[in-house]
Order: sequence, then structure tokens, then C-alpha cells
Amino acid sequence: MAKELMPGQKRVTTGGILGDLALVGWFAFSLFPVLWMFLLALKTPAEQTTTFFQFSPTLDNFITVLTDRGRTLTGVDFKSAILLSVLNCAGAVLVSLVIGIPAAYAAGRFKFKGSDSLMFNILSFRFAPELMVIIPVFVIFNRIGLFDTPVGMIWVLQLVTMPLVVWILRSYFQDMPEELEQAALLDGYTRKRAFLMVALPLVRPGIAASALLSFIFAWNNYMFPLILTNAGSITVTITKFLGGGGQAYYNLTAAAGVLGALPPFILALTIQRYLVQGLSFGAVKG
Amino acid sequence: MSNTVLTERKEAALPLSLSKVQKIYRTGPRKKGGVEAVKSMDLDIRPGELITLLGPSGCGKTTTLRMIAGLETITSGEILIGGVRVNDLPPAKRNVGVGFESYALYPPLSVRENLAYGLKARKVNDAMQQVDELARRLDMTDMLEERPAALSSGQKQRVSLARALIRKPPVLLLDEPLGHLDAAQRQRVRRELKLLQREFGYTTIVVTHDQSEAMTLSDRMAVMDAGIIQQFGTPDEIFDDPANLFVADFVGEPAINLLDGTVVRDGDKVLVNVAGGVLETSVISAKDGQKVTVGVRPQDAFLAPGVKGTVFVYEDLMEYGLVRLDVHGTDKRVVVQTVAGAKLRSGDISEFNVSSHRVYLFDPEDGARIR
Ligand SMILES: Nc1ncnc2c1ncn2[C@@H]1O[C@H](COP(=O)(O)OP(=O)(O)OP(=O)(O)O)[C@@H](O)[C@H]1O
Ligand SMILES: [Mg+2]
Repeated sequence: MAKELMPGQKRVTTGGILGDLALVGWFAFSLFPVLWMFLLALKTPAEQTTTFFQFSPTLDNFITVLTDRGRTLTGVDFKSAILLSVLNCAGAVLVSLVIGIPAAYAAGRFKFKGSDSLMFNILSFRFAPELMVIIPVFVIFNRIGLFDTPVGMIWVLQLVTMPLVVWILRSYFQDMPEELEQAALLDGYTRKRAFLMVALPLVRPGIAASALLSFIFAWNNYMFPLILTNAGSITVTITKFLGGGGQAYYNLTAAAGVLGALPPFILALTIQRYLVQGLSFGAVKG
Repeated sequence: MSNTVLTERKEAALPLSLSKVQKIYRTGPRKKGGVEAVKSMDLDIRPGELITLLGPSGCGKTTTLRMIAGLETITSGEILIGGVRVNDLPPAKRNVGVGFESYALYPPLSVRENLAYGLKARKVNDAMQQVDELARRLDMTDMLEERPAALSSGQKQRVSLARALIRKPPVLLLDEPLGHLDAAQRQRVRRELKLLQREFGYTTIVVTHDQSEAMTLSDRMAVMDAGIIQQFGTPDEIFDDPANLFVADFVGEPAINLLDGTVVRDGDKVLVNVAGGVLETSVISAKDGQKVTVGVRPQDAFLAPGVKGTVFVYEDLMEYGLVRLDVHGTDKRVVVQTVAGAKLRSGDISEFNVSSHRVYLFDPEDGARIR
């Protein structure tokens, strides 16, 4: 008799193995640029344009990028750019959570005239290309003195992150049975306390997921910091290594890229716990 | 005095009354006018009375409860609890306990914490003692430390019931509280519910699909259909004196037999012609030659000369028997309850009759009772 299988488990077949191999191939193909970046980050200036996989790796590039050596060499201040980006993105995420969570709750719970088109409007911020609004925003920012300020940056970045927060969390709130809060209301809790004590803890995984996603979106944004600041951001600064001092430092660019990918990565690891909690928590309904 | 249903009155039961209450849902997917879930509802419930709301799915039972609890706005009409108009009071101020159809247990908390949750909001001191006491009475001590996700739907239902009961609210609304219990549990919880209800004097509305439950549990029952109360009365009144065809048909197991008939007045006797046979009735207002729908309950019918039929099948249910007769001259089949062990075989020709005061006549057009 054939071996007993887990539900959903499949038997090993030739087709299955070929399929798996194809997947591994695709995996290697799509990760190759990342691998290339890692290798490039470890190469010396002399080797930076070679395509050999064999070379003597060095951590010099990372040190250069992070210290004053890089600044004197290329005129790029990478450390403060990373700090600035962390601040701006965290600020944008914070603003979107503080405003977006109640907004998502209202959108999920109350239906009123025009509520659907309002939600669509919020989403439409996401599919309007940034280039479309960048010139007017640039002019306005110059006029009211928000050009090259953290407030200005947080303001535009939350345009990117807010729709994500509202849309992701709205579906979480909608999936949560209304009766849970209503039972609390009947027990004598106020609407606000029922929201804070009953609804909010149940959507924690959603908050974690949307915070992470919006951080990544804000982090990767290029157009807004490029046009609206002099100080730049992580994305803008990385590109400066490609020609800031009159010479293209591909190896430094790669090292900066690796370092620049770290903050979202660290953030993802820290809130992973809450993301996974979302899975084991599914039994909200009867 | 402020406009609140006061907590200090919790020992005294409160009357609950609805007058001309209407609910139109305007957000539904259906066309502009909205869905009229409750049409014009009048209900006067005495303090400490237990009534059941019985009706088919979608007739507006849950909507009614939600309006009383304050979870749904009232389109028009008035709801009074203890004489106080509660239309504009938030749920917290109405002091109403609700057992939800969907249980509404809070997933991250244990059963014990779920039960204590409602007491905490009102700063009750001996919360844990009360939880233990109620758990003992509802036979759920062993699940107190479980999370809701680990419970079966019947267990969740009992916890949900306990959650509604524990605050001892003057008005208690239970939406199908026993639907998922097995037969033995249902007996026990039903009895305990009734005892607790008597003891603490909650004015109670129980929604149910199960008519035998409604019959045994309620002081009075309200039969609802299409957003309207068709009849409100004691179980006996509902069964013996149905207000219209819907109530007669909806209540009673096996269902009432319905046949087309024509009224014949013969001196001071009123007769109905049914499929070639004749039944005598005490309905005095029936007019000669009037077409009617004749209702005969299986429990009222007996085998005796009257209306002829062929035995389709005879079932012996130990306590009584049920004969199904194909009535001659129609395509109708009637059910007649007999004593147990009647000697009848399929294909036998038989006849049934019924005493004149147990023959119900209805207007075939609108189902109104002709008395
Ligand atoms: N939130 C809502 N929006 C729109 N229509 C609704 C809403 N809730 C209920 N309805 C409609 O109102 C009517 C009555 O619903 P209700 O839930 O009160 O029925 P019910 O008697 O409790 O039924 P059941 O026995 O199946 O629980 C139904 O036609 C339903 O579709
Ligand atoms: Mg219902």
C-alpha cells in the first residue's frame, strides 16, 4: 500500500520534480542581481568592472561608505542620508498609522453616502504617478518653505503610505465580526474603549503588516526626495556614488545598496512575530 | 431623573414595550427604497415575562432584537424599557443583555475572562465568584480555562448564553440560544434558563426556529412573518385559536391539514363541503356558498364517517399513530392522529371527521380567519 500522506501533500512524480527544478531555476535567476550586488560590494576598485567570480573579497567598501573616507573621496555623506531616511520613513509610517487606523476602522464599519468613492479616492493616490504631481508640489513647497525639510518629506511620503494602511486594515476590520464590539458596548464600554480594547488588539497582525509594507514603500521612494530635497534620502544618495566625484564607484554603490537594504530587513525581522501571530489567530469567527 | 434605564432597578423586572416599530435598511444591496425588515411592530411584554419570537428565516427577528438593544437605529416608532423611551439611548445605557446568534466570544480571552469581561465594565467586586456559580449551573466549569477557538459550537453557544446572563440585566435578549445544542443539553440548558429567568426576573425575549421549544419555554409567544407580528398570545391560544392561515400553518407538528371547501348553511347548522364529504363547523359568520380554506389539525381529526380517503401509509409512533389519507376527489393528502396500534394498511378506504368547534375556516384570498 502507498504511504499515507498529509492532507494536501502530493506524491513524488517526474513531472513534479521537473516542476520543482524549474522553480529553483527561476529562483536563482531572479536572485542573481542581488547576488551580483553582494559580490560587487566586496570587490576592490580595480576589480569592480570584471565579471569574474573569483577575487579577493574585502570589506573596505563598506567602511569607505560609512566613514569620512567616502565623503572625501566622493563628496557623499551616506551615514546622514541613512539616518535622514529612517527618520522620514518612520515619521511617514507613524502619521499613516495614527490617522489611517481610525480611518480604516470607520471605512470598515460604517457605510455612508459616498463611502465607496472616498475609499477609491484614497487608493487613487497610489496609481497616480508621482511625476504627475511633482512639479506643482515642488512649486508649492518652495513657496511655503517646506522644501528640503523633514516635515515636507513626511508629508509627501505619507501620501504613499496612507492608502496602504487604510486599505489593508479596512479588510481586517471588515473580517472581524461586529458583534464582538457590540457585546462590549452592551457591557457598558464606550465606543472608544470598545475600539481600543476589543477591535484594535485583534488587528495587530494587520497593523504590523501594513506598517512594514508602508515603510518599505516609503524607503524605496526615489522621486519625491530627489526633487523636493537637497539632503536627499537613501535612494538618492546611493546613486550619487555613480558619479558624484567625477568617477563612477560601482563597488561603493553596491556596498551602499547592501547597507540600504538593511533597515527594512531588520524591521521585518523584528515584527515577524506579529505577522505570524496573524496566521495562528484566524479563528475569530464562530 | 436622567434618561437612563437605571442599574439600581436591576432587582425589579422591567416591562418592555414596542409601539409601531419599523426598520428599513437603506444600505442593502437591493434597490433604492431599502429593505423593510420590520414593518409595524407592537409588543407589550410584562415585567419578568419570557416571550419567544417564532418565525421563518429572514422575517426580522434578529433585527427586532438589535433595535431593542440599541445596535440598530429605529426607522420609526418607539421602544420603552421600564417606561423610559430608549430610542436615542446608546446600548450601554439600556442595560440590556444580549446573547448573539454568532456567539461573539472574544478570541484572545479564556471563557472565564470572557464571562468576567462584562462584569468588569461595571466594576463588580465578586466577579470570579459569580462566574464560578453560573458556570456550575450551566454545567461548564470544565471549560472555563479554554479559549473560544477550542470549543465546539454547542459549547460556544452555552458560553455566549452565560455571557448574556451573568450581568443579570433587567431585559435579556437571546437570539437562538439553543440552536446548536444536542437534545440532552438542550433539555438541561432550557430548564436552567427558565429557572434563572424566574429567579432573577429578567424580562426575556428568546428568538427561536423551534416551535416545540417556543411552546415549552414561553409565557407568551409572538409568531412573526415578513416583518409583522401575526399573533401574540399564550402557546395555547396560538395553537387552539390561530389568528390567520400563516399562524395555523406555521405552528403545529405535524402541520395543519388544509383543504378547499364550500360553506353550506342548513337551518342553524353550518356545514362545509370538502371533496364530496361534509364537515360540520361552529363558525357562525360563514356565508352560504362561500369558498373557504378549511384547516383541520391532525390532533383534532379522528377516523369516523365524514370525508373519504385511501390510506397511503400508516406510521405507528408508539405513543400514537399517524395515518396519511389521500382524500378522494382531490390531490390533497391529510394526516390524522390516531391511537397507537390502529389496524390500518396502505390501500384501505377510510374516513375522517372532526368536532365542529375544531374546524378552522380561512379566507383563501388573504388567509384571514373566518370566525
Ligand atoms: N444590515 C442589513 N442590511 C440590509 N438588510 C438587512 C441587514 N440585516 C438584515 N437585513 C434584512 O432584513 C431582513 C430580516 O433579517 P433578520 O436578520 O432580522 O432575520 P431573522 O428573522 O433573524 O432571520 P434568521 O432566522 O435567519 O436569523 C432580511 O431580509 C435581511 O436580508
Ligand atoms: Mg436571526
